[in-house]
Amino acid sequence: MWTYLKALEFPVKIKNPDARAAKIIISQYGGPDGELGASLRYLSQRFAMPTPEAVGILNDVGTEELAHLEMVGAIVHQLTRGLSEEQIKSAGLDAYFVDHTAGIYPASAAGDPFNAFAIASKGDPITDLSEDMAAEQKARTTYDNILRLVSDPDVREPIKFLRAREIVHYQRFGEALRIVTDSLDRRNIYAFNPALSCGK
Amino acid sequence: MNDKERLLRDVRIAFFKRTEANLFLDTHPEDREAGRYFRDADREFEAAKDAYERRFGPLCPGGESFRDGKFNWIAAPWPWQGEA
Repeated sequence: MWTYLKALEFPVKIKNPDARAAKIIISQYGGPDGELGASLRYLSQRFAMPTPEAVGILNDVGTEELAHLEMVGAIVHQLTRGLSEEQIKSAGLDAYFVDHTAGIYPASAAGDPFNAFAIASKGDPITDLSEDMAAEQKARTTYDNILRLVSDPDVREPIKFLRAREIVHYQRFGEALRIVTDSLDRRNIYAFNPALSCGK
Repeated sequence: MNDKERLLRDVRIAFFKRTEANLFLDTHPEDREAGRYFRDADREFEAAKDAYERRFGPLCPGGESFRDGKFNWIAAPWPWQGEA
């Protein structure tokens, strides 16, 4: 269950629309390393976690990712407010516009709709937590790439906040992986699926 | 920055402190210093939320959502509109 707080985790107040920036930032909404995939990944994986620490971190990071999804949606929404047809065409946002107008749709920068193949939920805590650490780094790289392409400080500040959160989440997932590994049966030297060996 | 923006900023800061402490405690549940930080941030958040809601309407579904015969929850702005 969730409840809603009527505030963004970090403020988004963009004065100047920018179709080109919107076209790339939408990737962090519904692209391969975006916030939709992040929230679904962690909130799905938590069911198979064997230790309270790992359950907690997946539940709570998954929840924070929903707040990040909202922030990215807010950024794209504000970047596409009041654009002219000419601005849409010259920035190459016309392919998105014809299907979604200025609505928010989960897709990558290249236009591929969100695909659940971009996430995994393997039912093995070692596998899943290793994936999660990579996922945080992939998202961090994507935010770094966005920062290379966008100069407006109104856009960069919330992107920098999101980038910093990936680093904290990576750290916490590393700790969870260590806790799960330490909790394994000592005879299980290859650390194979602890979800299946629970209680045996 | 007007009163509304300042009060919402206080809410956001306290909420963030609590979120960050929460994640740390998930993997360090025995850390008493982090526990105290979490508890202080939680009090700060509740106080900031009450201060905002008394003047500017509901942030969470609750008592402030319906007041004086009016359902205020759906009143703009929503967070993504960039007004506060």
